Amino acid sequence: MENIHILIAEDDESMQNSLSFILEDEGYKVSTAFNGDEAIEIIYNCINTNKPVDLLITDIQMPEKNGLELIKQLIESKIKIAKIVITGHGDKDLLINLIRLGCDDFLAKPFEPDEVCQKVSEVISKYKLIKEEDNKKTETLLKKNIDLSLEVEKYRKTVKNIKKELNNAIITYNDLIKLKNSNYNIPIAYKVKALKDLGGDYFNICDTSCGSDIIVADVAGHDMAASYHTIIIKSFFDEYSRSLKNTHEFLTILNQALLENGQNERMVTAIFLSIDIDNMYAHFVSAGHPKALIISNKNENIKYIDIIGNILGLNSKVELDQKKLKIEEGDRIILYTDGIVNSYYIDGPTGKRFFLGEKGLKNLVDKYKNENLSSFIDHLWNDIMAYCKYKQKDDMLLFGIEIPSNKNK
Amino acid sequence: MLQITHDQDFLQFKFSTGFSLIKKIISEIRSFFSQCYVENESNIILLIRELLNNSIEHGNKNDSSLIIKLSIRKIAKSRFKIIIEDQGQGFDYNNMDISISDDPTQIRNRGLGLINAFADEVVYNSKGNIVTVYVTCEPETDFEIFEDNDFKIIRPTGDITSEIAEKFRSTLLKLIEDKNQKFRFDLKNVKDIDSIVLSLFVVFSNMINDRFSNSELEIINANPDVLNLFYMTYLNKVYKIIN
Repeated sequence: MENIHILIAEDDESMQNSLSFILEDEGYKVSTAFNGDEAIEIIYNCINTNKPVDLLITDIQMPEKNGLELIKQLIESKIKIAKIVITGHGDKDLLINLIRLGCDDFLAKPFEPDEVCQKVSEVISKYKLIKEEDNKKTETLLKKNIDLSLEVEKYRKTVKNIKKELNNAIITYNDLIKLKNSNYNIPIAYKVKALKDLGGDYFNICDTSCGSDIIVADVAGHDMAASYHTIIIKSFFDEYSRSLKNTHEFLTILNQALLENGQNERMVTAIFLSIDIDNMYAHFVSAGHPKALIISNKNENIKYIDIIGNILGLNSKVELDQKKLKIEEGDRIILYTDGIVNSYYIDGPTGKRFFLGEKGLKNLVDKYKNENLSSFIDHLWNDIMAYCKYKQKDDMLLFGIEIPSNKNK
Repeated sequence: MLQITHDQDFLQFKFSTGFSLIKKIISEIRSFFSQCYVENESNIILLIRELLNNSIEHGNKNDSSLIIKLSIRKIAKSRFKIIIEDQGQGFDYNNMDISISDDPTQIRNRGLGLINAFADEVVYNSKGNIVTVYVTCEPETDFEIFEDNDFKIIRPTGDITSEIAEKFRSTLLKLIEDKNQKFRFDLKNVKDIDSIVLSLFVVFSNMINDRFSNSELEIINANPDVLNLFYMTYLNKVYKIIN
C-alpha cells in the first residue's frame, strides 16, 4: 500500500477530510486539491518523481475547473492515472458520459468508508495489472530495438567494407587505364568523363618508330563487367604496341578474346589510328565506331572519315573497314565515342529530343578550329556539355591530335 | 494567405512567402499528381520543393508580405509545365553552376543542379524572377507479356535503357526457363535502346538458338532508329524484322 499515491479533488472540505482519513488509515499516501486546476498542477508536478499520482478521486462540481473537465484534460494529455468520480443524486446522464470517457469507477454519495476502501482497492489492483502489462510490452519493444540496432550496425559495417573494396577496385581500374605519359610523338589533347565510376570509354596511345598509334574504344555498359572488358582491350593494346604491329590482326584477335571471355557478351566499338610522320599518312581502321573527323590545315576543310566496319564481340567473323589518308603538318584529327554525338537536350514544350549528331559536332569543330589544340578541345567539350545541359547519358570521350612537322624535312 | 485554383489538368497556388504553407501545398500537389495517374512523382516533388525554397529564401528573401505564384499544368501524357513566380529582384541565372558536383558531401548549392537534372528544360524570364520548368514523369518501363498462337509476345511499355537492363534480363531469363521457343518483340512504345540492351538481345538469341531447334525470333513495330541499331549489330540476321 505504501507505494500508492491518491489525489482527492473535492471543494467540500469536510468531504475532503473524511476521505483523507479513511485512505491514510489504509496506508495510502494522500494529496488534496480544491478544484480541477489545483489537481492538474499536483499531478503534473508529481509526474517524473518517485511518487506520481496513481489514482484520482474527484468530485464533479468544483469551482475553476470541474471534475468532468479535469478528467477530459487528463485523457487528452494521455496521462496514465486511475480515476474514480464522486457522484451525487440524479447524475445518471453524467454517469453515462463518464463511463464513455473512461472513468474506472464511481462513488455515489452518501457512501460508507468500507465502500470507499473496497472500490479504491479494486481500481488500484486493476490499474496495477494494466501498468505491469504496459511495462512488459515496453521491455519487449526495447529489447527488439536493441536487437535491430545491432543488426543495423552489422549491415553498416558490411556496406562500409564493400564500399571500401569497390573504391579500391575503382582506383586500381583508373590507375590501369590512364595514360602513363604526357608527351608522345604526336601532340594530343583529350577530355573524358565516365557516366559512372566503372566501365567507360577507353583510349590509349603508344609511340612507334615513325609516329604514334592511337586506339579509342567504347565498351557497352557501365559496370564491373564492362571495366573487365576494358582491361582486356588495354592488355591487348599493350601487347600490340610491344609486338604485333598489324592492326587487322590485333582487332581480330581482340574480337576473339571478347567473344571467349565469359557469358557476358559485350559489344565493343573501336577505332584505330596509325600516324606515320616520316611518310605523312594516317591509317584508320574502324570496328563499328563513330566516324573520325579531320580538319585540313591548308584549306580548313572539315570532313568525316566515312568508314564503319563491324562491332566487336558479337560474331566470330568480323569485317573491319579502313582508310589511308595523306596528312600535312597542322592537320587535326578528332576521335570520340558515341556519348558525344548522342548527347541531346529536350525541348520543354514538345518533349522532343535534339541530338548533337555528326552535324552538330562538325559545327562546333568549325567554331573553334583556329584555337590551339588544347583550347580547342576544352571549348569543344564545354560547348557539348552546355548543349546537353550537363545531363550526361553515356560515357563521353573527346580526343584530338595535331600533326607535327615531318621529321625528315 | 493561400489561394488554390484547381482544374482537371491544372493546379495553381498563390500564397504569402513563408515555409509554413509548404506542407499543405505539397499535399495538394500529390493529390493532383495522383489524379493525373503519375506513379513516381518523387523526382518532380523534389524539383518543386527546390523551386519553392529558392523563391521563398532567395527570391522574396523570406518577406511574408510578398507573394509567390506556383502553377502546374499537364501538357501531355506524363508531361507537366511548372511556372513559379516571386516578387524579388531576380538573379543572374546565366552564371550559375548547374552541374551536380561529384562530391557527395557537398550539400549546399545543389538546388539549381537538382532542378536542372530532373527537368527537361528550365527557362527564365529576363529578370530572373519567373521560372518555367518542363518535366517528364514517365513511369518505369514494364514488360507486357502475352500469347498469340505459339508465340510469346513481349511488349515493353517504354524505352529500354541501362536503368532497366536488369529487369529486362530477368524477364528474358524467366521466358527461357519456361521453355518457350517462339518470341515476338513488339517495340512500338520503344524510342530508345542502348548498347547494353542490344547485348541482351544478342545473348538472348544465342541462348534460344542453342537450346531449341525450332526457335523463332521476331521484331515488330520498331522505329527507324531502333531498326538501324539492329542492322548495325547484325541482329537482323537472327531476329526476323517485320513491319
